[in-house]
Amino acid sequence: MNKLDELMSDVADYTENHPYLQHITEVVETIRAIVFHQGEAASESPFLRDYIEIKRYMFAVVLAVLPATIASIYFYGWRALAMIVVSYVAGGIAEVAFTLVRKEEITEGFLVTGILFPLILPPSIPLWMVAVGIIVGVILGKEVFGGTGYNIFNPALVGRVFLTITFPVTMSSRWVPPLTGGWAGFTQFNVDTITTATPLGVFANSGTLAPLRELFLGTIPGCLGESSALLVIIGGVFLMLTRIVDWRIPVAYLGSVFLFSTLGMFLWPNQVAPPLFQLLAGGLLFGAMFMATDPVSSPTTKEGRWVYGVFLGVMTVSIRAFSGYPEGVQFSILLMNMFAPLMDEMVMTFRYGPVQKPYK
Amino acid sequence: MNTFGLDLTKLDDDEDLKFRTIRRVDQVTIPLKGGFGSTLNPSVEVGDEVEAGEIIARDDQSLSTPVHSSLDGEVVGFTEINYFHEETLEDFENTVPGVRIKANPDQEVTGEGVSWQKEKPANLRELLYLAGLTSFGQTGIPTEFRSSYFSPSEVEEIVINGVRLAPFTRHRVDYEEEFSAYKKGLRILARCFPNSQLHFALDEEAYKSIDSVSSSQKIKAHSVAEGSYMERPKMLARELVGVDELDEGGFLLDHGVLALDEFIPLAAYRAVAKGIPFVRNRFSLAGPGAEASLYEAPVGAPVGNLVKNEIRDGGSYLDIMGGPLSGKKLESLELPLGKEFDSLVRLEEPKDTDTLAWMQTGLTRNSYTNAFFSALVPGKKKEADTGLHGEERPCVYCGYCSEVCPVDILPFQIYQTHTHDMIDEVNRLQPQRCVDCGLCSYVCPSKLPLSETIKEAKKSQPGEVNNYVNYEETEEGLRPKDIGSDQGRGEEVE
Repeated sequence: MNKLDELMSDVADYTENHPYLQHITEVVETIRAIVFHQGEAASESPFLRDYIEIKRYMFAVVLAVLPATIASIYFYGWRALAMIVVSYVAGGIAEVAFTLVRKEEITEGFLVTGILFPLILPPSIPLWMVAVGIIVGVILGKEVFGGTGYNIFNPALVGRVFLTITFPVTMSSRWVPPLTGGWAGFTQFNVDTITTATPLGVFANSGTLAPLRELFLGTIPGCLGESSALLVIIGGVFLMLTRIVDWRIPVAYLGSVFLFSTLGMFLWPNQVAPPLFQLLAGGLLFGAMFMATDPVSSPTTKEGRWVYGVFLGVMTVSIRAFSGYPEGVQFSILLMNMFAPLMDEMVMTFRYGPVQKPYK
Repeated sequence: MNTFGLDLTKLDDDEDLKFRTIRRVDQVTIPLKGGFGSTLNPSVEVGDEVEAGEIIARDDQSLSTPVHSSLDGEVVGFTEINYFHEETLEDFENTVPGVRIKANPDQEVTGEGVSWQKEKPANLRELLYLAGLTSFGQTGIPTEFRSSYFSPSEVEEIVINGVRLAPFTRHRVDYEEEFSAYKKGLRILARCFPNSQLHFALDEEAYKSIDSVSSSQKIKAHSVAEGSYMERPKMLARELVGVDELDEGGFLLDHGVLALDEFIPLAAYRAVAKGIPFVRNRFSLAGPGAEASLYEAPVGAPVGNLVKNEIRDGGSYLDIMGGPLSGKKLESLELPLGKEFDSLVRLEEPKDTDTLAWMQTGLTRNSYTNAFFSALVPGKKKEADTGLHGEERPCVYCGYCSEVCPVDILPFQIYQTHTHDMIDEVNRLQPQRCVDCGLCSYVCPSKLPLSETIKEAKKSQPGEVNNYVNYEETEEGLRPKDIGSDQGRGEEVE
């Protein structure tokens, strides 16, 4: 063991036996495990194990959103990074507090929620609102259900929907045009406070469509992470190629949006936007690649994932077209999260038959 | 092994085996039970002189197979051996009594064979019994001598498993040199059960080195390619023979399938055509901790002595009997070579510290996901150690386990329902289909004990009652333990 590891081990041994410092042991041990990764050997067969583990799984997702994150700083200044830091700190405290009280091990699930949450928020909402949102998301979206692995809903989306409903004006009016040209946001902390509307908002009001090129490259207003469709797609494809994310969900979701909006465009031309615009505008790409694919809250079976993606597409286009909200991704994903266990149950019943209870 | 997107081929370096024959050892300890069957009482005492190939324990009235001395020598004592049994009898005590024999210098076993082409099947079966071969196979090879729960007429298919695709598994037969004798062994086995069909399965590479197996319709050879999982006897039976009833559980012979390992035909040839009983066993040694070798040695010889020149000592290693994915951990190599000992795998233990392992590029780290740089260099040899490579975490429902499962069950769901005691839910998911391949536990990012849990879940299945828990030794030998008609699941609802 190297010196730092030994030092931490000694600290942990000391605090374990000290009457008031037990919780520090847990934190120190967690950091030791994360950094130095004690290699335990398999004690039962199989004796060979894959090198993938949850830390790397989460790390791969963070890597995939990194391009979009850096772009968010480019477009909106260093304030974007401040939002991310606030999200990690506030949410991290909530998560660690719950885990310690429950006497469980601190797990890595929050690594991903912490970065995804700010990326789906408007760029100039107050930082305290980011903190409130992530704390509600972590507590009501994950911890009350049992913590990592037990949540029904995507915690980041629970936080966002909470903010949307509790602070509707702020959440719908803090869109600002992104900075472009030269070093853009890297030279500023904040963006100008000229508020504007998102492309979906503009369409909902007046039926005007933003140019596809701008939607693709990111020179249009939107949430922190969704501006550049190109970078989101790159991140998503990376996740699909590494098998971290099941390709069926984004393909089914986006395909269903494409088909349903093509159909809708003819049936309800004033309400349903054309397919390519639908795909590139708003948080659809981000949601399809990073939010809908959260493995815990989405169905686990292959067939279930197809059904989930298709229904998500229909819901998103419908909410965008027929409801008061210009963007439907967050609500569709949460609604379909509710149905995910049912979809898995249907697949299992189809494959294996229903559960029989012949014995008391 | 390359199956359902999981590539394990580059863990092993495929070095050629060196064949080592050990003729002489100083002392052997013969277990009084080898494979399927009851433990026998010895018919020799301390001080008796025995010959190589002589039967030293036999009981035709109990479910058993005779035990032979593997060397000429003198009986010097009796001892208890800490021993592993076949999967079917896992819940038995792990100690087996053994006979210690001190060897005389002259070791050659000679015998008189018969012209097996003319022998009646019942006589051939008797020869197999007297040679000690009938304890192989999941429930023994059926003969008229109570060597198995089943009778010879129940054998409809014979499956010889020569598939060696998993990493660090090797063939126990040199198909190039020994194939003419081997073919005769196949024909002898086929003749023992004249109404059955014999299937001989080899992995593609070994299949290329053999010539035609037989002109008889009763013997078919199969080449097994990568891409589907065929290592386990039950899986081979399911695929080759198409027996879907195997999914219902129970023993293989419940469905008429007798599954034997690839060495048995050669042993059958020696027994019948040469009159030499099964007193010399073969096992392969492979892994990063040893020089790949194939040993043939007397039954009862101390394994540690046999392999001492080929095992590497500079480091921390784990010895596994069987394959790395479905074998059993050996606490030490100081045990006698038993009849069912077929392979030894020596894997490296992981290093104590691996700084920021989850952020490393991982050029030599194998994974089902492509989240390591090893995905970019598929031809490079990968590391193989026994480390978990992570801590146990809650299930995240990634679905990898069900993607690599060869029999289409949902390991994660069986795990969740079993650990929450939802018995009816577990039953619906058909855990008895599991072939114990271990691939689900291999891929799990949360390091859950999926394979172990499914084994536990199988014990509560009606079809699997016979396979796991419920046999006990009585005066008459092995008997099913009486657990009542409800099979341990409660009272039946009217």
